[in-house]
Amino acid sequence: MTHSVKQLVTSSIPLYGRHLIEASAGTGKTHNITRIYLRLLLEKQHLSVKNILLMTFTKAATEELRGRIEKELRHALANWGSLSQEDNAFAELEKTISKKNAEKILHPALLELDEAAIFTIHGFCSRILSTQAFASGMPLDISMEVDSSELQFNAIADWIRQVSFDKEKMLRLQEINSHTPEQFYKKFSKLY
Amino acid sequence: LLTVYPSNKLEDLVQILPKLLSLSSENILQAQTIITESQGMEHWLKLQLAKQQGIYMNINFKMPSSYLWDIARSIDDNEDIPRHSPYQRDILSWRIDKIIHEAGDSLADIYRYCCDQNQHPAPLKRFQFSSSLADIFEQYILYRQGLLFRWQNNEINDGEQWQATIWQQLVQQDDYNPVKLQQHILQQLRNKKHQAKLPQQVIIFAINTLAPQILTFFETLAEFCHIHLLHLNPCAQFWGEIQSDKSKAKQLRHNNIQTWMKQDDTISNSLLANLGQQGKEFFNLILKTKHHEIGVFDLPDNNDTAEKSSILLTLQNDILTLYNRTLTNKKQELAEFAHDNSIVINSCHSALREIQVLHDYLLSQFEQDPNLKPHDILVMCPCIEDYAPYINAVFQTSFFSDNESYTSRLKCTLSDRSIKDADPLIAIFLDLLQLPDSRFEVSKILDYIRLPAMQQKFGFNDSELDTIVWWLDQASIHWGVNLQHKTTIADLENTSEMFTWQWGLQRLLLGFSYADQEVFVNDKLLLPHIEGQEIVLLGRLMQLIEQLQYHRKKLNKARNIEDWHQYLFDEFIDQFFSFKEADKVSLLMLKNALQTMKENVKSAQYDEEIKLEVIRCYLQQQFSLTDNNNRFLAGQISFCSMIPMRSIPFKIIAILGLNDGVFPRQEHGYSYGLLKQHPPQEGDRSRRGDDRYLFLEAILSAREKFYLSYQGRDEKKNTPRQSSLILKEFIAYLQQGFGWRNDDKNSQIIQHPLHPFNALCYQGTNPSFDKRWFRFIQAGTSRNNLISFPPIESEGLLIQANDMIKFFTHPLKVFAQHSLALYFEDNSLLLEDKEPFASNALTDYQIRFEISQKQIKNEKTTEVFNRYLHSGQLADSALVEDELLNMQEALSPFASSVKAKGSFNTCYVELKLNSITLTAELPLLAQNNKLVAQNKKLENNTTEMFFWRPSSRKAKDDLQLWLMHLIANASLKQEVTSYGLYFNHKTNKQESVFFPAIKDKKLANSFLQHFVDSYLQGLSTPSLNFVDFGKVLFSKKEKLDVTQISYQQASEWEKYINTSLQADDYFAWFYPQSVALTTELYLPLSKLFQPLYAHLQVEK
Repeated sequence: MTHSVKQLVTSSIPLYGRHLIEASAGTGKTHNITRIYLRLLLEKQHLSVKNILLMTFTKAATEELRGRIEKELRHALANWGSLSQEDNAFAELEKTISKKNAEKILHPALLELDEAAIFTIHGFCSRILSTQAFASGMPLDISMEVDSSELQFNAIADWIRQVSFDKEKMLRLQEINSHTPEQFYKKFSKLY
Repeated sequence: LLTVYPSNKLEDLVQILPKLLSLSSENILQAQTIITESQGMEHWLKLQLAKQQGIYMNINFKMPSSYLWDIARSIDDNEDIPRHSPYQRDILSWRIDKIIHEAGDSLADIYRYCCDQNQHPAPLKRFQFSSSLADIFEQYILYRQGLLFRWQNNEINDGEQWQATIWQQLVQQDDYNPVKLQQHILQQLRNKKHQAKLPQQVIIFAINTLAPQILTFFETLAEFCHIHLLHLNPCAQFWGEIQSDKSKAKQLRHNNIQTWMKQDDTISNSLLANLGQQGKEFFNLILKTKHHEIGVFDLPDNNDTAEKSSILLTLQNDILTLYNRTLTNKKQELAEFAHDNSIVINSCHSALREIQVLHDYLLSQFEQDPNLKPHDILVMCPCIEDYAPYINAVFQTSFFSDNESYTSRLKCTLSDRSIKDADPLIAIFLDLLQLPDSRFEVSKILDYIRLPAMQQKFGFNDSELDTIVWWLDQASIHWGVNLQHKTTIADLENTSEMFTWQWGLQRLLLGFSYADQEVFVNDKLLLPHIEGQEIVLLGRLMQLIEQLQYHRKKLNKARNIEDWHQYLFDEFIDQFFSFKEADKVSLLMLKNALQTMKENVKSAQYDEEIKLEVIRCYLQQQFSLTDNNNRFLAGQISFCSMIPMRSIPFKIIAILGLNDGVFPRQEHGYSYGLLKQHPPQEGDRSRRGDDRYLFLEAILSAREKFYLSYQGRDEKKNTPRQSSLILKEFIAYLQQGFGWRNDDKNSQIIQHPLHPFNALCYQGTNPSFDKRWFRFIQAGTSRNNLISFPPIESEGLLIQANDMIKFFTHPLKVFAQHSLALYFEDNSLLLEDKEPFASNALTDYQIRFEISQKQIKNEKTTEVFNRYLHSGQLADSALVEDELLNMQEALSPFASSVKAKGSFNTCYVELKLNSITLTAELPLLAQNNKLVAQNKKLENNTTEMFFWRPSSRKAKDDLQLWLMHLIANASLKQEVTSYGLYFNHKTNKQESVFFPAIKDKKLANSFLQHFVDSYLQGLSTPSLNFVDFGKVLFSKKEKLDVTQISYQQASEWEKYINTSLQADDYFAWFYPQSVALTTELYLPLSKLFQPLYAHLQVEK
């Protein structure tokens, strides 16, 4: 399979298939995502915000993303018809979708936005695992730990307790200065 | 007869309540029934009725579903309907658990899910699954009776098979299933002979949603008695047909766009339409019933007065009259509302700040309105647990004693707290149920001892806790009951009993009876810390540990419910808790919960043995529920969670935490729940819908002020955070309808500063009232801690050399402690749950010191070894003993060198320096001592002084050697050469230094005089003559200018301050802004320490 690298044009990128968009920080990835989101809602009128999955890395980023989308939708809703004056990318959309139709789609989308499928990667996985607990065989009351360092630390301490009378192992640990849980954690927790 | 009384104000509904009550012609002693949906409402009604009638009495309050059950029982001829429905959630979960447990092939998949990876049954997983299924079945019973009815008739669709099978089995077990029961009641009701058993009238008060089937029940009941349904309707117009934009959206997706476009789409009032969905469905359901309607709406007299009232009242009227201001706003209206403050929206950085800002806001409200009473205020949070600690901190408790009236604090009560979070006794009880998995960490056991009910049971008091903590620290107890417990719980193959309770307590106990100092007996280091009567306290501590150990084993046994109840109720609770008056409520709650558990399990006919983990899970579920002790409306400011059906009017209603993702609260159903898979039906409820309606109710229930707050900025990064969508909609409505501003510059959303001590908090229209934080603003005008006293009278003063050494090691600390009585050391002991895995630097030094002492005296080090190896201060590993041996080996050349120096004895000298006397103890060469003591001239007129320390040489060592050297040379007739021998334990090398004798006694005297002057001055005014500075500045052997600071010196100085003094509390107190090296500071340092390092000779 070959990849063709093209300039991203949010107003004309086809809304099907797979697209990999690559850009460095601060070049407007989020902005473009909100544009594509808007197009998805307007052009594929059967989609609700629950049906469009957005994933990002941090909780703060999901919140920001939701806020940006909300702003974009509200802006489009309030100014439909004159959007292409400030940004020509809207020209095509405004031609095909009437103000009334746009309102019919955007207004409800805004109201449902709290249910939009915007997740962190962990959040999405944990959601799927718990809603599909029956299929995954997981217990029903799993919850996601934000910080597992204490668990790791305790496990390391137990392991050191287990080997602490094994002279050979302890000597080797001491050689690399990792014979206490603190030092061991410091040395090895960054490895993955 | 069903009469419906809709109203937009609860106050109006209450007005008609006494009249309705007086309508009854029944026996005067017969209690009347009022059905409400919440305890808060019930409480409010009682207060209102008492206020109106002068008395409140003889009224039965019921919840709708339990009333249905009551009626069923009262008209049942055979009297075989049980008192509690076996289909209520808590019983149902045990019944389902049993069904799955005994399941045959028909439920093979479910059975397999409820097993662990090795295909063994996993009781906890099974019970959790059963509980969740009980939840879902409860919803079916309320909202999908058709589905259950179908299953009972064996009409089962795809994907429903296993749930249907379980339901069928449940029905087989107990015939009075809710579906059948309802039909049964309806049938019985129609049988007129029951008329006598029915009440004459029933009042349903302020319920804003009812499951369709319960409404049907009341509708049928209304054929035989009079039912008054009093409810709140936000809108006097008929608005059942208003569609929220959202349902329109669904329609849009289901139908095609063209047909939808033809419909009339004027959105009458977008707030009502968007928030009121749930109420609307309820009103539509009522509409379908046969009923009379008597409207009790409080409509505004004419539009003029309404226009002049506040935004809040206008908004409420808009909703009442179905008026959409966003479409028809006029310019002059906007001006009217520009400075209105009936609606306040705040953005803060954290939950704590939200509470602080609220507290200040409420104080200013009390100031402005003398008629405002605390009970006029309601504060709601999406989840009270997130705010409870902050509410306590800001509203309730004051860290400082009350008589210091810096800040007035408003009193408040918290409702809806989860029991296990609010009640420490219940929390400890649940924790004790974890005993079989507990490691007996020292901090955990101390938590137990700190609980008053447990303290009392075992006879501790608070002052004894410090003693216990000290013992535990000395005995090095960290975790584990005994060797066996330690081995099994941490899965250790090879370990010792070190650090366990048994090991440590035994050392204390035996030490008490053995000797007054540490002794090493039978591989144990016995401790002498317990004296006399204290042994009783140790006994109590041991009793507690024994008790815990006993129940640790006993809890682990599976029992049937009878035995569990007996064990927990009669034995467990009694042995751990003593109940004073203060704990009675907790005890009652605990005992009730255990009693209910027994009854529920028995009702479920569950006679299998139950494992501890299942009992624990069940009790945890129960205690996660909210506390039913009514603290709502207790006369103080009410804080509560956002719970539907509490639309009680208040003058001020505040809602906190309106953040994105937090509110409206999301509900994550399980994928197998069929409710979500089917198209929604009228009367269905969702958490989101509830929350939207609740917000609408809150808008309508606020009589004067509506206060909203959220966390609009990130606490760490100050980046914007998103508010709840509902708040955004509300703001958008305010913007469009009332000309609210929400742009960056002139926003009417108040952004509060991050810190309560920001000067901005005390400016503007609503300044903070907190005087304590205010002091921090004043503190910004630089407070000078460099306090000086008049010089010390030096006439006849006696100064010990060691005090001077201490002084120059840390002049600021000595000044603070000596002259200001200011101590920054924290001496409180913090017990560690983890044993040491390596020794600390101080212990290492002590060991080196003791070993070398023995070596120098040619004694065996076995005693030192034993003591440290068994003290618990070192790691328990295969390496420790070798480490000690290595240490000993490394130290032995050092000890030989010390010995080679010869034998030294201390010799006391006094030296007159002008008006003061300096005293010191000098370690001088032993053979000369006698002569020196008599101050006789020695033959060769020289002697030696010697200091040693098995640690690397520090500036402090140089200072000690130099001061003693000066004193010796100034006071003795001999010329004294002073040697220092040190041992660098990192490189295992010896460091040897010496000061050649000072022949000119005057010179020695004048050096000393500098030190004495600087010392005396430093006791009356803070100084920076640290010897460390001296070393940093003058120990380099290149050519130095004693009056001029070199570039390198300045940077060394800065480096030292930024590293070694960076965390120094004393330095920070005197020099909060740090301090640069000036000539003024440099000259005295140079005068004191430059000669020291100029004379110091380092032996290679």
